[in-house]
Amino acid sequence: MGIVHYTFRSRVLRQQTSVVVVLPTYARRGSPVSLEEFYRPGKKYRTLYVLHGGSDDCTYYVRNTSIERYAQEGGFAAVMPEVRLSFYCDMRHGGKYLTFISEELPEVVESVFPLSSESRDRFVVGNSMGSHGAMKWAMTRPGDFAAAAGMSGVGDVEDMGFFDMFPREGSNPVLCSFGTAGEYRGSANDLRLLAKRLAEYGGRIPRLFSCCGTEDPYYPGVRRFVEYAAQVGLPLTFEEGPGAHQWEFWDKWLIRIIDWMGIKE
Amino acid sequence: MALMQFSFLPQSLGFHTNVRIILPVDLPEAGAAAGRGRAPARLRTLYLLHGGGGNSLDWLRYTNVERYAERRGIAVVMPEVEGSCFYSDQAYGQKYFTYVAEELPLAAECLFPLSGKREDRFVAGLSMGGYGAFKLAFRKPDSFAAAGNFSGLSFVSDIFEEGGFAGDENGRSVVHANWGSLESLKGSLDDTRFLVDRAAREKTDLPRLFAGIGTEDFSYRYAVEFLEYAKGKGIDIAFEKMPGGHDWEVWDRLIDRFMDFMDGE
Repeated sequence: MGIVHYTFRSRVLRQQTSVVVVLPTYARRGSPVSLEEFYRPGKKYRTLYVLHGGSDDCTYYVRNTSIERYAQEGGFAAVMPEVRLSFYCDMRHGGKYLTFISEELPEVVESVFPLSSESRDRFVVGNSMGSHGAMKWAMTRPGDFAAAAGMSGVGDVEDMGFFDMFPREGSNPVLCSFGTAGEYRGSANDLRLLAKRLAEYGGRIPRLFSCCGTEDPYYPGVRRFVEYAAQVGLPLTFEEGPGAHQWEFWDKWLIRIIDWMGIKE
Repeated sequence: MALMQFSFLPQSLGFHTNVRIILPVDLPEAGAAAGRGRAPARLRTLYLLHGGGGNSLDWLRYTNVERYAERRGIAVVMPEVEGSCFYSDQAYGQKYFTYVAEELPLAAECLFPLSGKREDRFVAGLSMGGYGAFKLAFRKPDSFAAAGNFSGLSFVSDIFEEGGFAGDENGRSVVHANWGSLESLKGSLDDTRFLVDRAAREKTDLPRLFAGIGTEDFSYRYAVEFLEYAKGKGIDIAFEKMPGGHDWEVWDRLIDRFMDFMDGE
């Protein structure tokens, strides 16, 4: 595989930002085609957008999972942006990270790299804060993906206790991202509201997957959201396994999710 | 400009290597993508080669190449090769010529929005990279519209002779690794005198050729000899000399000048 660290100026964020992209490259061993056939112009790859958790960056998945190996085995590309502590929000106090991730980023990477723009070829997964991001993106723009998955954090932000998690001061990432609990409720970030709307949506929606480790502190909140989804009639596959809020769990479940999504060539 | 670090395993090298690529984005003529941070399809591209002991960061660190490229809206691809390989398919080592001349452009033009048309492709380099650029121009004339040689204009066989500036013990080990022996180098496709003779004899349609050097450069007299020899054979090389030595101040000015030459100035 080739790995790219791409730095560009985001118009939406009004600053330089980086994204790591892994792309299939030619390997003679095991390849049924020649170098020239492999690198023919016009090739487009199925793409998995991989969204990091709080305080992580665009290098974290590469360093803490074998995402590159999974992408290589599956013959797809992976795109790993970075959004700092924004919870993938158009922040209440801060940058427009939801617009960045869901509108600007795909436009940029699909014009620079050989990535397919067809929704049947596009997938998104995230862990923790990234699971909120993945679900929110997929639910807000149901035509963007064939499938979306969240690990260890697909739940209602208020219900999971996020608004009580940090001291009430300017550096509080929940406050900066969502505002207060009152401001979250009914907003574009309200995952329960998004789920309800998606259940009522008449068009094609992505397949949705949530998983959590049974020792993870967010497990109860994640389970409650699964029940909520069932109540409002939103199809949401849930699986669980032993494990806590850690990379061992996310690396292992990436494999399961890739399989479940059917991304592989 | 956007900056990319691309790492992959080329078949011609057998190990992972880095390439730095700078891409113009936000060009007005991007059409439908204007003002939305996209790279326009199929960019004019300069393959820019480092000198002895350098790597894919050199040009970015020591010159203003990014600003110069941005003004002209061209992409610049900066590979890295072994420090003294002289961009050769080594006798004892890897295939650096095949990598830079064939595999890299094939991969890069498939994976990134770079043009594969002769009129949109250029190559240049400093010192060992200048030699490399002219070697590419003479051996793959249909691949490039223009080539630039900065402080690398010499008959490579002369510089490695006893008494030449690379005729010492270190030079002898370079010759051994790259070509086996000076005798093997002479008359081969890595011998610039042979390439000039062949191009003259076959009346090859060469890319437009540009050479530049500082008048205090230790290899200045070799450059003058080369120019006179080539002229005598009917091969035109636009020549620019300036005060200065074998150094980055000269190369910073020459790369800017060469980009004008690329545009026909």
